[in-house]
Amino acid sequence: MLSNFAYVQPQSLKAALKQLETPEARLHAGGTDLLGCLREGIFGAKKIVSISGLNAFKGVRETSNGGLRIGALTTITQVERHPAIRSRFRALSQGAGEVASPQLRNQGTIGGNICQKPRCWYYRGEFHCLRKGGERCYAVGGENQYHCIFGGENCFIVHPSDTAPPLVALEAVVRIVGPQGTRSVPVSRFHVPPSEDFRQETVLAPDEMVTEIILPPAPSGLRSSYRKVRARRAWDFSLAGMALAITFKDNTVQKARVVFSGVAPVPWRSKEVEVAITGRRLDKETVARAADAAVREAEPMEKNGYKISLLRGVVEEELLAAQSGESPG
Amino acid sequence: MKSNNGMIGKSIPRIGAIERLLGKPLFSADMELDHPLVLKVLPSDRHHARILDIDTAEAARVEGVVEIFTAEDIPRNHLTGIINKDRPLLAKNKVRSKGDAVALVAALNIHAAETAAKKIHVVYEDLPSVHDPEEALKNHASKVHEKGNLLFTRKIKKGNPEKAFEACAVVVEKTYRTSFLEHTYLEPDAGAGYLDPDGNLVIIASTQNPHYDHSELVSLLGVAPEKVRIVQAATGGGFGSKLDLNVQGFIGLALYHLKRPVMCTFTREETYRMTAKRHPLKMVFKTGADENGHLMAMTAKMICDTGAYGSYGLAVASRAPVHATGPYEIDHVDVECRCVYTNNPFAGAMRGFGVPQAAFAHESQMDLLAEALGMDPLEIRRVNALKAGHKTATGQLLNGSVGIDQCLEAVKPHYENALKTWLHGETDFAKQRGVGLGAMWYGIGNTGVQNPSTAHIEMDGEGRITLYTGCADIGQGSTTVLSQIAAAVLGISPDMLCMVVGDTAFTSNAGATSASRQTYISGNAVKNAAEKLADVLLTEGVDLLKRPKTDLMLENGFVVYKKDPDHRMPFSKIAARAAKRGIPLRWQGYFDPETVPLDPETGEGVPYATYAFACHVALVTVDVLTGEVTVHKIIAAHDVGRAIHPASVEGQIRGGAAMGVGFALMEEYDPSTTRSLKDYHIPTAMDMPEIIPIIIESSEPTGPFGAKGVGEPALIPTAPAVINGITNAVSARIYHLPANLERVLEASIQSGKFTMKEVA
Ligand SMILES: Cc1cc2nc3c(=O)[nH]c(=O)nc-3n(C[C@H](O)[C@H](O)[C@H](O)COP(=O)(O)OP(=O)(O)OC[C@H]3O[C@@H](n4cnc5c(N)ncnc54)[C@H](O)[C@@H]3O)c2cc1C
Ligand code: SF4
Repeated sequence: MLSNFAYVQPQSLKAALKQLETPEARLHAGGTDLLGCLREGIFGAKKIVSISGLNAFKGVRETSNGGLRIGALTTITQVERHPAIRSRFRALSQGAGEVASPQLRNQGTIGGNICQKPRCWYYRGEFHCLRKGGERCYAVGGENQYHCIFGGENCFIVHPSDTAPPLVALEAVVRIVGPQGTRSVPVSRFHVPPSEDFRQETVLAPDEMVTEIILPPAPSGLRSSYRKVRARRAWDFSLAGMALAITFKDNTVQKARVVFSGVAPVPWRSKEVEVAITGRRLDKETVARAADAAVREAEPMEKNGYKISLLRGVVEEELLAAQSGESPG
Repeated sequence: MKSNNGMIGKSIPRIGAIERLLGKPLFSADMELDHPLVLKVLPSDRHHARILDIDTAEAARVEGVVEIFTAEDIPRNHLTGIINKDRPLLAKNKVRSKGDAVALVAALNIHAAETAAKKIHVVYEDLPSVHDPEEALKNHASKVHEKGNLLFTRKIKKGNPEKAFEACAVVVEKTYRTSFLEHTYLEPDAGAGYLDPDGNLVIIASTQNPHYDHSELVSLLGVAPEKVRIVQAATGGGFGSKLDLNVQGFIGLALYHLKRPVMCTFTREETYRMTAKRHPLKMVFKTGADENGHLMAMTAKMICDTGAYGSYGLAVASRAPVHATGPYEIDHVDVECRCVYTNNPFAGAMRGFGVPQAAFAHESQMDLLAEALGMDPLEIRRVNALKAGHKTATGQLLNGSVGIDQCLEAVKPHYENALKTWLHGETDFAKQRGVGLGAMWYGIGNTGVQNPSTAHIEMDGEGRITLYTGCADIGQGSTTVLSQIAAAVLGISPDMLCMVVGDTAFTSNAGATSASRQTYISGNAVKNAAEKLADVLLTEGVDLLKRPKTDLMLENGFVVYKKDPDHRMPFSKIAARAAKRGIPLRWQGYFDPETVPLDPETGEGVPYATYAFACHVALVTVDVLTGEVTVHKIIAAHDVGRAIHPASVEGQIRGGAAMGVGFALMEEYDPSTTRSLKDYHIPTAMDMPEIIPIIIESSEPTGPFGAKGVGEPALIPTAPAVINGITNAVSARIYHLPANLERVLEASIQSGKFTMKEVA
């Protein structure tokens, strides 16, 4: 049951930032994650600051150099369907299309999607675990089949977002506004790994907000894709996934960015795979080598060893598809 | 078959469908009562513990709290249960699982009720808990119930399987496991109650069995039967879980003491925590066949975990072994099924009562035998399929409708075509296709026990007819089907009938909406009542029309002379005359299928009067690199005897296949981690295959107009067909349901399929 809170709906960015200064104020975009967190008592709120009135941050605009600016309040459905995103940044459109269910995509925003809280069963349950300020991580020695195989330290969540890995692969940048002014952070540095701070998912301060996500222009010949594996076809989080942004020259890989979902506490860039394929043709041998490289550093827990095979499978499928042009973008 | 005015086999508009589309039916939680109190249950947070003290003082001081009840407040019998009474309404002295209700708060609003529930201090002394049924049977195991952890054993013995195995060309022995499942009906349990002007307790609830609820409340409260009235509200699905007393007892208790309107609505989390689950089974099957694929012998050892309470556990533990042979004739059989208490959540009825679990095992065995013999899976099923004149494992001679052959025949072209063309169609490099079969049989009604149904029909002085039935329509459409049956007998259109359904003040016991029994059993009871009325109408017609009875018939509300349809008499006239002469126009119908109880040692007997049969074909694709399974198509042939309302039969088949896909691939309730829909995968529309229902009508002589049942059969063959399809695709078999991505991936790795196919 929700406890009582004040609800405000400021009509300007300035007013919104002012409201966020209140202690225990929570920013509310589409509310699809926020309300779940409040209902489950993961954190409380004295004031809910709805930013749904900030029309300036809704929608997608072209930048002068051929990139895109995506307002933080753009819905996931809009991101999925936007023609420019579909044609030039296909991985992001695919990632958005893989999020949750149609209803949640209509209601949820891209800003909220990259800021959402983890889905660890203990975190969402009645356990006062490390990330919630408690003493220990219950996933260690507990039910950890959905936890991470990379980057776990103290806490072993996986990052739930399907849009963040494509954004990292496409070298997107987050625009953040706070009392101190505006700053820009690459999406690849926006999420905080537990090795640095296990209490915080992003670099945002409580009184800051994301206003936009900026996609730099796509290099010519860019193919990008996002593949997600999950237990059922909709309304379910990634068990392992991969965003790929790749350019070829004469059939060999010129440049590639490979980012995994579902296997690490933050969108997980695999430099290992990138190195294994750059300068090569994506033949069976290279792909097999890349798949080996992808999981070489993996550290499974007791119950999530299957994610290693799964990730291998995803890497192989995606790279072979990229070579055969099955997923041009 | 007497008269049938075209009403049978016709998909007339479902009674109540328009109202439901308009949002008119009232579900329990929507009842508008005068300032009702809300009820909140405090569940146990221990697996197994003695209750040393329940301190409600602080909770009682919460503003808005009206009363807090514990076991001591139950006026008469505190134990409930439809087959064996072992489940306390509120825990007395100890708790046996984390879902046990410990206390009940009645408050002015939900906030107060929830706050108070948190402030009830229960002092527990933990007892060792047991969570595995095999562990529970060991000597040192902690006792869940005083009388021990073995609740029940069912044995079926026929011939001498050990000897027969020696003569077999192939023998396959494997162990199969299934998981706890949660029904996940759309509407969480709910109910409302108030006192009528005479001081009677009226409880409106989401239920599958209002007359059972009535008997439990009378037993709990120790009041006269006429003091309690149960009304079935619009019910949003049940699948077996709403056969238990989920909220009705709490409402009755509060109403009894407080005498003011109350409501109890479970959250999804509460339905997950406090209502029944599907029994997980461990099944060791050994099956042997001769070189032609004829099944010679089978043995099975089954153990089912009923958790903390029996609920329908005995029924499951009886049905699973009775059906263990599958729809095949086997001369030598030895099956044993034990039903065991543990400290897990209690398991009860869920669509199929253990037969879906058993079918997973027997149909996997059939494919393994076919493989060992180099036979086609359809052929081995055809060779062994039961026929009229065969004897089942319980020694029952089948002489009525046995339509398994027709089901196999009906799927054959689809199956062969899939093998010939679809299987070899072009796929993506990581995809492998597979085709699988699953067959089943399912006894209609309860196993080897009496399970009658009654119905009443009444004609008033103006010739208007009302049908009274206690049969709960929980969405499957029984009210429509029963109206068609009565209408067909009386020669009227169903909309000329007034239906009174599921209200213990007016209807009589029709038994549970379970075991796929209502069309067959209540259908027969309704038919019986309608025939009595029809007979009176015809007899009276003789006097009025001056024509012999054999030349009269009922048509459109008239008694009609067959040779001259203009010579006729309206029901209203006959009714008026009968009323004057004191001839009763209210009749009771009754039907109890003929069964013979199973012998406790050999299982010999006649468990059911008739059986439904079915066969599904599943077309699946497996991604061998990720373990993802896509079910493309299910072809589902069902022998239902007679489809009284074909659209409803198809609806059951489609819904059953959907549930079967969930059972096969994803549904698993883990007692330690599953809290609500966010932790439990049921299939979404995106996971659904194309479903092609095929209705087979092998008329059942004892059925109403030849009908049997389809509710549970619809689900049973799907999972075996899907699993056999996966096996066909990846050349490795999965023995533990669900075949989730992790298990399929593992199977793919084991079989060496986890490699890229040659890339073009
Ligand atoms: C059942 C379910 C299934 C789901 N499945 C998936 C899935 O498969 N894949 C996936 O990627 N996601 C999934 N999600 C998550 C869903 O996509 C997110 O809830 C949604 O994108 C969040 O957007 P929102 O606008 O509703 O955010 P809100 O709920 O409003 O906010 C989420 C969080 O972000 C903060 N926030 C929001 N906007 C901003 C901003 N502009 N600046 C700073 N902070 C902000 C809020 O304070 C809050 O803490 C699922 C969610 C549910 C409930
Ligand atoms: S993985 Fe992280 S969120 Fe989950 S229990 Fe451990 S510390 Fe808490």
